[in-house]
Order: sequence, then structure tokens, then C-alpha cells
Amino acid sequence: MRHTLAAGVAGAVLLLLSGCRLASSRSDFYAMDTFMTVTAYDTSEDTAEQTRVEIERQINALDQLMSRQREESDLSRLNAAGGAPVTVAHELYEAIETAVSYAELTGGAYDPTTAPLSDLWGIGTEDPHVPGQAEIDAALQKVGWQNIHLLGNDTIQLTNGAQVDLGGIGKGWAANDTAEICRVAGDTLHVLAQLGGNIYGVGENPNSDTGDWLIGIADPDASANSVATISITDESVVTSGDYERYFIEDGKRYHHIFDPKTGYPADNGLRSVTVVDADSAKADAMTTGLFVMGLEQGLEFCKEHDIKAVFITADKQIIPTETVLPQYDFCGAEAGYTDAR
Amino acid sequence: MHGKLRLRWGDLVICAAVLCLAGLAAVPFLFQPSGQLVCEIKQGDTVVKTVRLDPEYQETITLTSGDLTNVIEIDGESVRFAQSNCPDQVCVRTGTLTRAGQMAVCLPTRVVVRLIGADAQVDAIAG
Amino acid sequence: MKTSKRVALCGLLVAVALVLSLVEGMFPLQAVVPVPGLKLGLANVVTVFALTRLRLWDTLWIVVVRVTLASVFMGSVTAFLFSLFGGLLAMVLMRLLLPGLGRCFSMPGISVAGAAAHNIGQIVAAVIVLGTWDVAGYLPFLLVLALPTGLVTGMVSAVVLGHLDKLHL
Repeated sequence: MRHTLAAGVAGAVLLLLSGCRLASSRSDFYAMDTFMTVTAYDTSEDTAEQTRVEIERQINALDQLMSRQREESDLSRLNAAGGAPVTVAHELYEAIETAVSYAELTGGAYDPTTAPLSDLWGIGTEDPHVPGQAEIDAALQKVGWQNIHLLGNDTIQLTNGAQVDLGGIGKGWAANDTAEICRVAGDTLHVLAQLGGNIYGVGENPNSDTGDWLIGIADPDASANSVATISITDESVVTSGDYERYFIEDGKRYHHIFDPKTGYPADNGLRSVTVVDADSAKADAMTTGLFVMGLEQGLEFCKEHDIKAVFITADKQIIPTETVLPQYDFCGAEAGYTDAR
Repeated sequence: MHGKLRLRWGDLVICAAVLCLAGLAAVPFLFQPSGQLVCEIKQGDTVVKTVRLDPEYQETITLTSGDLTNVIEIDGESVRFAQSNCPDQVCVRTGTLTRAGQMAVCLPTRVVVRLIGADAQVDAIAG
Repeated sequence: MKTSKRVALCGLLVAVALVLSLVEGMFPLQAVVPVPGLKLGLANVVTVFALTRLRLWDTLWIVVVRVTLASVFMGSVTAFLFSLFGGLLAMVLMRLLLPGLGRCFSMPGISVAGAAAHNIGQIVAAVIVLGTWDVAGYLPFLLVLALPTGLVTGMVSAVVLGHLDKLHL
């Protein structure tokens, strides 16, 4: 009897101790036009592995649904409908509804209908160029989130030749789904998802004493290096910058974030905007919106809507909002940046 | 039974020998600098190369994908995309990787270069 | 010993060794000390018993069949090679030491030697198969841990052999 008890206690101790060690599962893949890497940690190797696979599967499914480049996607069907109402998959409807709400919130600074502009400028193609003003004016006719009509019952109608592009919130939407998958899968999971410029840290960081994930904000001129860091748990960090996709013509830089009012890439002295939020789709849309607004109006907007943001300007100033300061650390002195908090 | 359990002089020899071997086996690893960086280069889903970086190490790796060519330069404990004829040049402008956790990606060729090691400065970089 | 009896005993010992491996799997020693390749090595008890009662050739087959079946049931092909190398090296070393049992060595001492040999064998196999010296980094830890694990399995062996002496197998 005493031996059985001793064996039982020993077994229990072993089981408890086995909880200390986490298995991890990592994968690299390409989706939504970008490189993604997801690392899942769990006490059970199977759970880590399965969750990681499930995340990858979900992101690929979203890509099939939301991609403007894939002809067979639901979104392409909507864009090709020529103004007729189209019933789309529920998740796509929700995503477009969300995009429209952020367009409204930012007063159109973020706009999911700027695709005709990026097509015209040829950003991301072999042949990017500065178009003529007449062409820009013609493209601008099709731009405006008000042309998206949400008719209910998953039905959407696009008017005035509008085209929807969810590039501005798609990765954020995918990051939110990632976090949701992890919450459903169990509370022993820890996941770091890096979906292009969108990062989501789910649960605590098992490799850190504080439990926070430490996320760097890229130096716009050498994006391997960080010029500031943000500590997060169950939050997302999203950065948009003029250095991700651009071309240079006559010595001037033209990038991929368009001002829906002018039809030109936003040109207001900002290099990048980072937003920290538990809702990665919101953070994603806000980075674009704030980038278009510019520093002054952007800071005001953040104050008004309680948004945690970090702005990097062309004159190498890094400006965090007051709300982000508890999670913020400056480390850009070496690269010539100034901490302008 | 007790005869088989009672410790003999030879047992001490065995234990001492095992511990000596353990010590000997540990020697080569004691002199290795800590915080070793490993550079992993991936093209698509295949790991093309994994190298342990040390200050003496030099290598230039050329990877092609269709018409596109990446030239990756390993110079001591730093790695960079030295050249690429891809249209966006994002990989080249990512700059030089010197710390664990850093990563450079060339989307058109699907080449990923990352540094792996114990003392990463950050867990990921948003940009 | 009659051939039929010998064959039966070999089969029995393989079965016992497999059960011991399974039982061992229920106590994840690696969870306490996270060193890959670490285990208690209870199957070693069977090897010791076989070495004392059977011919070297029979013992060799018991080890080979046990390792093969254990890999089929729970392991991978690479793990099989590591265990095989380890198992055989342990067997050879213990065979050399066993004549001194009771005079120069105790059962736990011989088991410690066997455990250490097993570790060296598996790491050598890993270095060859994986083609990298990195795995050798585990060897110092495994060797130090061979002392307690060998001690435990050695005591078990002594008790088992003591009891079996009373039976006339």
C-alpha cells in the first residue's frame, strides 16, 4: 500500500514537471502576397502542431476568399459583377463591412476602394510609372467607400465602377482569426504569428521572463533593424510604411499608400505608422488611415479615438502617442533617429 | 542477492570513468562562444543552407528563380542580400542581418534568410 | 539448455523487455530533465539477465529483436538505429564486466557502465546518421545521468536475478 502511494506521488510529480516544458511548432508560408511565419507553443506537441496547421489552413482559405488577384475568389466575383448585387461568403461580407466602418471612422483616409489607383500607378508590377493627371482623375471617379452598398443578407453592390481591395485589412483579419483559433484551442497555447507587417502575440511569450512578446518597429531604411520596440501580450502590432512597395522616378519616391483624395501616394513627411491593438484588422486599417492623415491630424485622431500608435517621420523623428508609452521603448539612436515623445 | 548489490572497488572505477568521459565530452563545447548565430537560408519550402556563423566565415551564395537572381553574402557574423534583380529590391533594402531573430525576405524569389540564436533582441519585427 | 526451452525463453525475454519499454514510456523522464535520448533503460535488466543465463549469440538477438519491435511500436527509423547501436554497445561492455560480478563489481556498477555505453553508442549513431557533431553536446549530460539511471536499473537487476536464482530456468 505504501509503495503504491509512493509510486502515485512520484507519478503525479512527474506529470506536473512535464508541464514545464513546452513543445513548439513553426512554419513558413506564403499567402496574401506576403511571407508569413507562425510559431505555436504548447505543453502538448500535438496541440501546437495541430493549431499551427489549422492557422495556416484558415489563412489560405481567407486568401482564396479575399484575394483580388485570384480570379476565382469571391472578391473577384464581386469586383467583376459590373455593378450588380452579389451574394458573397459570410466572412467576406463581414470583412467588407468592417473595412467600410473603418473608412467611415477615418473619414475616408483609409479606403478599401483605392485599387484603381494602385493599378493605374502599376505599384507591385514590372512597370510602375507616374500617370498623367487626366488618368488619375478618371481613376478617382471609381474611388470612394460610399460606392460600397451593404444590402444585408451577405449581399453587396458596388456602384460607379468601384473595386474592393482588402489588402489594407486582410492580414489583420487573418491575424484576428489566428488569435481566435488559439483561444478556442485552449489556454495553454502561446502563438506568435507574423503575417507580413502584421504581428500577433497570442498568450504569453514562453521565452521571456516578463511573458511579453517584444516586437521591433522596423527602420524604414534598413528594415532588418528595429528603431523602437513594443511589448505585447494578446495584442497585435501592425506597421505600414512607404518603404514596403515603391518606385523612384525622377528622384522622387512613389509608394503604395494612396491618398484617396488626391490620387497620389500620401506625401506628408511620414515614413511609417505603427498601431498597437488587440484587434489586428482595426490596427491594419488605422496604419493606412493615419499614414494618409499625416502626423498632426493623425496624432489628433489617435487622441480622439484612443489609439496606440508610433509615427516615424522622414526627418528621423519617432513619435509615440502617450497611450503606447507603457509598452514602448526607443532604440533608434544608433541609426540616427530621435526619440520625440 | 546481497552479494550482487554490495559495492566493490570496481564500481568506483566505473563511476569515475563515466564522469571522466562526461568531462572529456564536454570540453569541445566549453570553448565554443555562447550566443552562436546560425544562418538559415530557405528557398520556397526547402532549406538551402544552414551555417554556423563565426568571424572568419565568408561565403557568397547565388540563388536563382526563373530570371531572378539573389546574391546573398555571408561576411563573418553578418548576412545580407548583396544583390538582387527582383523589381521591388525589398530584400536588398532590408539591410544587413547581425542579430538572432532578424530576417530578410525576397518575395519574388521566395528566398528567406534568417538568423537563429539564443539572444534575440526582439521576437519579431513589424515593418 | 534444450533448444525449445531456449527459444521460448528468448521470446519471453523480448516480450518482457518490450513491456518494460512501454512502462518506461509512462514516466517521461525527459520532462524532468529535458535531454533528448534520456531514459531509465529498464530493458537493460533483460539484457543483464540474458547475459547471465544465455549464450552471447542469443542475447544479441534478443537485443536486436527488442529494439526493432520497440521502434515499430513507438519510434522512428532513426531512433531505431540509435537504440540498436546503444543496445549492442551496452551489451558488449556488460558481457566483458559480468565475470567480475560480486568480486570487482556490483550489479549497479555494471549497469552504470552499460547505461554509459548505451549513451555513447546512441550518440555515435546519431552523429553518423545526422552528419553533425551538434548532437554530441548531449553526451556529457547523458553520461552524468547514466549514474543515477544505471544505479536504479542495476538495483532492479540485482533483485530480479536474486529472485530468479530460486527458480531453475
